[in-house]
Amino acid sequence: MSIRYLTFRLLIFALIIWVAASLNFLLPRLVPGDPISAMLNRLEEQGMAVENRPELIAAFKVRFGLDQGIGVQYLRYLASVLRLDFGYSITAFPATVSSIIAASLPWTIGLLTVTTLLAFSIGIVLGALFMWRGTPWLLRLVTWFLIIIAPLPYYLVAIVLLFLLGFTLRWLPPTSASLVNQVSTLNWSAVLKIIQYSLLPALSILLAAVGSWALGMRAMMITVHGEDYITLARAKGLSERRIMLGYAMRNALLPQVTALGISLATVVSGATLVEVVFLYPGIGRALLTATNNLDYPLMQGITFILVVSVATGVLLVDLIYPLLDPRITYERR
Amino acid sequence: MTKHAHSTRHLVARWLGLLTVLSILLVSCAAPVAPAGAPAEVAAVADNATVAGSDIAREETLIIATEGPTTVAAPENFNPFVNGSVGAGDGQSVLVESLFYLNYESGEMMPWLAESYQFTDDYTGVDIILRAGITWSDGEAFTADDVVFTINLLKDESLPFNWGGDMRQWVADVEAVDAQTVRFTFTGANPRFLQDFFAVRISTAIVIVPEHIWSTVEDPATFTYFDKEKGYPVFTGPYQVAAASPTEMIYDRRDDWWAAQSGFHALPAPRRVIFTSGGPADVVAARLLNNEVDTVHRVAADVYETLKAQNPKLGAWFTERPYAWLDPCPRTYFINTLKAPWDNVNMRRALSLAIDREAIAAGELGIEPGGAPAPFIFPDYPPLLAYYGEVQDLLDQYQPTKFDPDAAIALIEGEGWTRGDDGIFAKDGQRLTITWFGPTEWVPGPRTFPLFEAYLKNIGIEPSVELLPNAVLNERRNLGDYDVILTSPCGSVVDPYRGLDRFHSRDVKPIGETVTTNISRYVNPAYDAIVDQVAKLAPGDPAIAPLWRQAFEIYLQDQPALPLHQQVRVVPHNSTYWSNWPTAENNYIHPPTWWHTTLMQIIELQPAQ
Repeated sequence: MSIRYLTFRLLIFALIIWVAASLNFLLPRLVPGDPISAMLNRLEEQGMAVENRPELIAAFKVRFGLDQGIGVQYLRYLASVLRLDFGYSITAFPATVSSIIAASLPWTIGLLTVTTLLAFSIGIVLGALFMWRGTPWLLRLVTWFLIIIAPLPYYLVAIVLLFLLGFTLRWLPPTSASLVNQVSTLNWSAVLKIIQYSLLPALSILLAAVGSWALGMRAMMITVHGEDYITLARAKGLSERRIMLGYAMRNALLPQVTALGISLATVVSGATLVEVVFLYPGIGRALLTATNNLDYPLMQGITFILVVSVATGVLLVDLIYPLLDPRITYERR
Repeated sequence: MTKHAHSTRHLVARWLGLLTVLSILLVSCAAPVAPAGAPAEVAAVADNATVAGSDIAREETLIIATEGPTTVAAPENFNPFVNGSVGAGDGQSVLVESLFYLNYESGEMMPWLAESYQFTDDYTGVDIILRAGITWSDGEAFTADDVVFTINLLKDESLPFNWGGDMRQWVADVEAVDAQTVRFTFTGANPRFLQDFFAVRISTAIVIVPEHIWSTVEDPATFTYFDKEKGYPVFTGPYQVAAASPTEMIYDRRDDWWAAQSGFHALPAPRRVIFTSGGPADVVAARLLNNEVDTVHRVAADVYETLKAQNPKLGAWFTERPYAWLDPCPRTYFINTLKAPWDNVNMRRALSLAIDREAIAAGELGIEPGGAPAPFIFPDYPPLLAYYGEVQDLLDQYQPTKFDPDAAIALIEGEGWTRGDDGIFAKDGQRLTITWFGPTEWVPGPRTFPLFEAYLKNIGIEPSVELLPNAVLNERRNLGDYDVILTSPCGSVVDPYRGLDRFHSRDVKPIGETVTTNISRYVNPAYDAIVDQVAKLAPGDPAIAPLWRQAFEIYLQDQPALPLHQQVRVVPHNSTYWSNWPTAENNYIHPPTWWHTTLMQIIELQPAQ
């Protein structure tokens, strides 16, 4: 890979980040409504007499830098973004955006990276086995089932699981509301608690996602099976097992890896609806709360981290792809 | 090297490459927030290292579920003067105590941290006598100095604190006469000073903070008041923070609570109180059914009936429909009286006559006819119902909740409008249209809006009926960018003044400028003059009744708003573990569990097992 290509790719990366950061700044401000007024309105709805409204609005606007012109706000925003300092959350003032993200992001990453990697691994194996003659019928049945439920949204699977395993059979805690408080120090018992309280949300994501990966893998396997090198391998008398593992699966896997990279990068956005259903203390829930309350700084903080993660994921997949597939090269011919 | 060995090495290299990609991706995801060198999961656990504590039995634990998937924005912020901190509904109510608690059922202010009070004759000041023997949770004495310090802190203009504006507006001076006596001097007569600011009139009251801690704080605005080592937050209430997370707040009983020590009140029975995020409606319903929570902020009446059929231990304010306790903020449509043609009283009365409130209440709320429609923006609490009793003849004469579309049409015709071929009125080439807004967050809204469309079309008005997100709706409301807008005004609870004051013109401004109280922008100097007189009378003063009558008649004649119906809240409770919940029959206090008055319930609950 040439330095020239790398530089070009990094410049594109920087451009994506800048455009995204700018949109991130602009879009919430295009939404009608003012966050400080919204906050005071909530207080008034609770019966508090906010008799010094203009005064309070002015004081808060100064605290959040909203008293400045839009240009100044933008430049300050860019400068703070570079420092990864998103300031105070409007609704949770004086909590900082970073502290709110720090408290919830690890839970989401923990849940979604595990489920994404598991769904990917199980999905591609099932998808590949689906094309293999020796696969037992039971496994095929399971795969069919998973493929059928794949189009269902996570939260629907979540609700079914919740009522079945959480409320009816009572095998698992129905919500993760107690999760954070159940874990005081990181030891084996805490890990078990984490698993226990995360199992329902994890299962719902897993069940809904495995089918998609299996479906994609199956489609790729069908394509690969028609390739000349598979025919050649058969002609050479190689075993079916070796053809599948060494020739078909390896080649069918490549596009899936790209998708995995992007899936992992989007992990930071959380699985909002699943987090809401199970009261899981993750970032998706925080993003929902921020959006409902027009909390600009928190929305910006979360979406910015999401954008950076996706852009980084895509960049890394792009750069590492030639290492995975020698046919791909970014050299000029 | 064999071909096979080469192939295997190549494969291993590729998988290593893949793993590297994954690792980098994971690190890139976590890098912006996780402390350097700490895996993300470890960092999270360490940040939230509170109390695992499951050593208190379920039957000694009270579990209160909040409404919806709401969570605590900043669970480790107990600063009671800022918005994002742990609020009354998150359990602040069991940590703090108010000077008084206003009881909606009896109409009285129950003295708590305060023992008594004495206003000056002209209500320009008040002496508050604090109860003796009160101590903070760190053992220091609670004295008049703490109250004085708190009020002066709120008066500090540099701090963006809730209640700050109120204190700057009303408090000219505050001093500690002795350890037990606080003397307030007001900027003007204010007989409702205690009720408005120190008695949980609705939801919260000013929280007193200990001077010995807060006087040492550098920036009170960013002070989170949470430090387990130091025992923060220090308040006077019977519980202390055991664990805090965005989805669950845990409080454990302090057996050294001053009230128990002094014999003023026994320790509350629950050793632990948990405020948990309720979750989506069906989830919270299932939790209630399974006895996993003891009470929930609200469920729909239909849901309650279904749950009650399966779990007979469930109860609510009433044993029969509507089951609900009435929220203090009735559903009301405000009419923009500065916008033509709604600046004309006959046009406003036509709108009122067009709406079948009985049908809406019956359909939306499941309330029997006659039960729910509101003639004014008062909740139907016993002290306020007595005021309606004073004006029964006016109610009979004006019939403010009457449904009579023919009369509505006649009123519009009387204003020179002519009905076109399409059934819509027009005048001078202008069709009669109306913008009619409500909040998307109000769940029954979508069900009632087609009804409103039909009612308006029925009397020849072309409606533009729209549901808007609260933030947008409130902005339009405050700037006067609407014809009719739905809101739930909170005002009076035991005394007519706050409700009447909603239509005082003192803060009315032209359309486009912010108005938050009198959002109808209704101006009537005669009405203002009467309300100003009520303002000077103490709640319960017999002289209020005739003034209320005069003001209400002007309101009925001018119809600046369309009160629709009472806002009902089914607050279910579960008697599996706890009994003596407040109900209409056992009405020792009103039942919200998301207000500061929650403590008044908790201290009366008894173990059911």
